Amino acid sequence: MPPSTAYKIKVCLVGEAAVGKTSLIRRFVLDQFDDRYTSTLGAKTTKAEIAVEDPETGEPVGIAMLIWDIMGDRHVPESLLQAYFRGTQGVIAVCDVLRLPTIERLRDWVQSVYSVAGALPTICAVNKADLLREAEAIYEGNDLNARIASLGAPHFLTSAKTGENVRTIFHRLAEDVLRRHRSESVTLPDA
Amino acid sequence: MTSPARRISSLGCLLLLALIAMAPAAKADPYHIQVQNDALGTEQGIHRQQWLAQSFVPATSFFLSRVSLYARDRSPSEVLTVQIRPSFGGFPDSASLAGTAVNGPSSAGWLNFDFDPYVELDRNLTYWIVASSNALSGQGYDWWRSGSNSAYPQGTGAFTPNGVNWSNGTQDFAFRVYGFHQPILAFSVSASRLTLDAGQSVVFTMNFSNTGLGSANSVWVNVSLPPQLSFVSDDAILIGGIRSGAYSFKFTNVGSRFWSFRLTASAVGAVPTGTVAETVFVFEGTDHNGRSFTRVVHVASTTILNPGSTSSDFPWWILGVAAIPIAAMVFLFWRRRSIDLSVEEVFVVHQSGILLAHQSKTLTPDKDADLLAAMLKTVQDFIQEAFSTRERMPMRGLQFGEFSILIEPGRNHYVAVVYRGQDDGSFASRVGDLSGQIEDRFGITLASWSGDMREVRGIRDLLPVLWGQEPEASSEARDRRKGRARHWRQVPDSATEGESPEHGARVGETRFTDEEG
Repeated sequence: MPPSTAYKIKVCLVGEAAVGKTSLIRRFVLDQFDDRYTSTLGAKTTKAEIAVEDPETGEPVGIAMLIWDIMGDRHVPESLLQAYFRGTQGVIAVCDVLRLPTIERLRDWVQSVYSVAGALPTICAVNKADLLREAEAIYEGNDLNARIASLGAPHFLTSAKTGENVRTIFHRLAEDVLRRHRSESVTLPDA
Repeated sequence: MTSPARRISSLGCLLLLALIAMAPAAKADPYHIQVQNDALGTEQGIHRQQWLAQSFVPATSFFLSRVSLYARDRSPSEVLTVQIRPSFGGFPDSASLAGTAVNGPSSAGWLNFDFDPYVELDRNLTYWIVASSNALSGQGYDWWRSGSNSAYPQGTGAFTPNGVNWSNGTQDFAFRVYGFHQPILAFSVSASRLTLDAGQSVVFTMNFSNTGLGSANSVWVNVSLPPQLSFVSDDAILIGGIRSGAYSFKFTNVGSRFWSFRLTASAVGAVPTGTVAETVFVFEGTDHNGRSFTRVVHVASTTILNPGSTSSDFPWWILGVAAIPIAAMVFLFWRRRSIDLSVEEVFVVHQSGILLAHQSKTLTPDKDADLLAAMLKTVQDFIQEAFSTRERMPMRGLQFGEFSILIEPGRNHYVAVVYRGQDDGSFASRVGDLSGQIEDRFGITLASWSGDMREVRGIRDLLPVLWGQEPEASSEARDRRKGRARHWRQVPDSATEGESPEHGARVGETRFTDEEG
C-alpha cells in the first residue's frame, strides 16, 4: 500500500510554448481538466501522488504534487503569472532540444518565478530527447551540451514520447523540496 | 420439515450464488489482441544474414505485453530475438524500445514473446517488430508471410542483410500484438442518513466505475469505522469483493462497468448526544504495471443524536409531553433553515492553492478535491487579474444553477463553501467565524507553511460547524474577528495586500460594520 500523503507541495512547470510541458504532465500525472483551461486561464492544475525516501528516516513519504502547467504564450500578463507563482515550492523548467531559443529563454522563466517565490529547488527538463540525434546534427553536440550545462540547475534529457526521465524529474524535484523543508543543503540556482 | 425461515435462508443462498454466477467474467490478464494479421502463406528464413521486420500502427494507445509470430525453429539450440522499434525514415529505427528472446519449438505455430516491463505505444504512430537470429543460414527460424503486401494494409514487411540497411519486402508477415488499455476509475460514497440514534443503522453505499478501455489489476476499498459505529454486514461478495480485516475490500481484474456494494453499521450506545462519528473510505487501485492510481479519500460524518438511556424511575413521559411543542418549533425552524440553505462542500485552501481540509455532505464528487481547490484558486487569480482595476479585489462568490460558492478569504488561506438555497446573511457570518477560528489557531503556521499536512490536520475538525454541529460563534468570537479586521488594516501584508475583508465586501455590504451595528 502506498504511504498516505504527508506533504502537499506546489510545483510550476514553465517554459516557452510548444516545448512539451503539457505532454510531460500527461505522461505522469492525474489530469482531470480539459487543456482548454490552459489557453483560457493561462494555467491549469494537475496532480501527481508519489512516494520518496525521507532524508532523515529512510522511510517512504507520500507527497502530493499539485502542478501548475503555465502557458508559455508571452501574451499572458506578467501580473497573472505572478499570482500563479505565489506559494510555489519547486520549478520544472522545460525547453525543446530542437529549438535553441527555448533553452535561452529558460533563465527568464525561472527568474520570473524566483521574483515571486524566492530561489527554489529547480529542475531543467530538456525535452524531446527522442530527437537528440537531429538536434546534435543541427547545433553540433558540444555547443548544445554547453548551453544546457550553463542553465546552472540539475538538468535531464526528457522525452514525453518515450517516457525517458519523465518520472525522474518529478521524483527528483519532490526529493529536493523535501530536503529543503528538512533544512538540508540543496543546490539552488542563482536567484 | 423445513421451517419458513430456513426456506428463506436457503433461497437467499441460492440467490447469492446466482448473482455470483451472473457476474461478468473479468478480463483476467493484460494479454488482449490489439493488432493482428493471421493470414498465412509461405515461410521466410531468419538468420545472421537476414533479419526480418513487420511494421504496425496502433489505432489506440496501449501498453504492449506480448508479440506472437507464426514461426518455427529450424535448429533446436537457437533463440529468436524480437524487438519493438520506432520507425525512422520508413524503416526500423536503430534504437529499440524493448526486446526479448525465446527458444521456440521446431513445429510451426504462434510463438509468444512476452515483454516485461510492458511497452507503451502511442496511437497512429508506426512501430516495427524486428526478428533476428545469430544462427547460420538454414539454422535459424522461419517466419510465415501472408502471401500479399495488403494482408495488413497499415504496415509492411522489410528485411536487412546486416541489421542496418533495410529494404521493403513484398509481403506482410503473420503477427499478433497483445496489450492492454488503462482503466479510468472513479469512486463515490453515499450514506443512507446523516443522523441516527443508538442502535439504529446507517447504510453506506460505495460506488466505483471503470470507464476506461482496460481493466484494473486490483482495486481496494478500505473502510475505517469510528468507535461509535459497529459493523453489521456488507454485500461486497455479490460483486466479487473479498473482505479482510476491519474492513478492507479487494476486487481484482475490474473491467469496464459500474460496481456498487453496501456496508451496514449501527450506532453503539453510551456516547454523548451530538457526537460526530466519522467513517473514512479510501479507494485505491493498481493497473497491470503495478502502478497505483491516485487514492480517493471520502469521510462520511454521522451524528449520534440519542444515546438511548432507558433504565430510570424518572417520569420520562412528562418530559416527553413537554418536549412535543419544543420539538415542533425546532422542527419547523430546522425545516425552514434546511429549505433555505443546504451546505454541500467545504474547502479550506492555502493561499498557494493547496487544499488544507475538505468535507463533503453529498460524498459523490467525481473530481479530485485537491485539483478542484487548485483550479478554484487559479480561477480566482484570473478573475482578479481580468476585472480588478487599481486594487486586487478578491472574488467572493460564484453561482451556477441552484448552487452557490461563498468564498471567505483570510490572510494566508480562504474558505470556499458550496451550498444550495438562500443565505439571509447569517450563514456568511458563520463562514466568517470559521475562517476566523482557522486564523486564530493556524495563522502562524499558515504564514510559513511548508506543506506538512500534520501541521494543519486540526483544521478539518472545525468544519462541522457549518452543518450546525456546534453552537454558533459567541459574541466574544465576533469581537475577536473585529479585532482581526482592525489588525489587517493596521498591518498590511505585501502578500495579501488588498485582500482584506473590506475590499472583499459585496456591493452595498460592509461585512464587519453590519455586526458592529
